[in-house]
Amino acid sequence: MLQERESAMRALLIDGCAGNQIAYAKFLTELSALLRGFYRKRLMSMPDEVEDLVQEVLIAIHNQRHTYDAAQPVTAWAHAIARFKLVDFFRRRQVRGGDHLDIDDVEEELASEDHNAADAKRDVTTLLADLPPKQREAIELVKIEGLSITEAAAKTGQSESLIKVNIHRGLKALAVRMREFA
Amino acid sequence: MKTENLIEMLARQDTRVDHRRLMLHWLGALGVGLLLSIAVFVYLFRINPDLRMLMENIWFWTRFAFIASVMILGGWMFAKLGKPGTAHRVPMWLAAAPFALFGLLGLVLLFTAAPEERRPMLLGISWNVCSRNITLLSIPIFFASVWVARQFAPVRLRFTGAMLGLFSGGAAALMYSMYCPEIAPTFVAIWYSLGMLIPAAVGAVLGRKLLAW
Repeated sequence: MLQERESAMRALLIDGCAGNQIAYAKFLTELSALLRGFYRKRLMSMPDEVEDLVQEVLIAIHNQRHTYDAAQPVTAWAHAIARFKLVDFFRRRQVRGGDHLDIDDVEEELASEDHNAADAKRDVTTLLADLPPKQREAIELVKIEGLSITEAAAKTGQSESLIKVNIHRGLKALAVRMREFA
Repeated sequence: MKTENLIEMLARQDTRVDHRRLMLHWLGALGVGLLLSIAVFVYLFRINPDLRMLMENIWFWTRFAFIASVMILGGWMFAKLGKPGTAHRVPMWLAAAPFALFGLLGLVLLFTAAPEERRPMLLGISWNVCSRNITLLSIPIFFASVWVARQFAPVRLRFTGAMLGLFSGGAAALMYSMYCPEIAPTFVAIWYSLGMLIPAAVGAVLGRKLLAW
């Protein structure tokens, strides 16, 4: 079962990073369920924080997806990130003992799925609206309206590579803001 | 925004990862840092006119091997630490290995030398500037390495900071060794090590701040 999930997710991520958007969306959906399961179990006393953290980690993983090494199991990679982000969360909240929290449970990787998304407290749309105009424009046209890079370039007068750079920078800035917004 | 909408957004258009282009970016950044360090080197120092003669000495090459191993090891661990799937497998003690080995060599030579030779072995002619000069040269490469590390996903921030510091310190020491005539292992084991460990310590202290993502 775990092995099946691993190979399914691995295939989806590799296809996604090769440009298959449908596979990539499926990968992120699977991943979000695993993250939700992971965080629900570990943030019992703060259930309201779970969905925000899931969203923050999704954007972070998207931005750093190139760090996935095809020779490694996807679940181990995602688990390491999920764990790191949990420690980071505790540290920012200054939860006592957050630094020493025993979460080195490598055996129990991302194991349980949870498909019931609660509402996030923090609204990504609002954060997006606060980005520098060029970045916001690039993200809105391509990532929300679904224009191709070429179409977006024609529409804004930015070059294609600038559109890509602005999307990338915008999503990075978004990740930073999500992390800081607490 | 609901999570499913966020996923839709992230997965729409432009999901391709171009590893070759990314690699060029990182190498480019490191190259810029290296060039700036070389500029500082040219401005403050120069290639030792007696370098050829120094190269005939075996201790020149032990020094070279020591510095190169620190740099390569630091760079290799830095690269592993940037990827969450492999980061937990990098053992910390490995970074200490070249220092321990070379330190041992320095100690043995020190204790087998005649008492009146010990002082020059320890201090050479430039002990008071050596570590500082190496640290100085490492600054541009250090910043370039931080920029590169920030493109990755380090999960052990202090450790990663230390390794990128070791990498920059190693690169700086390698450059400095083209100028500095001190090749006695005891001297190198103290002052070169210190020069490479200062950027490593700075990286460890600032790691959490500089590398958070």
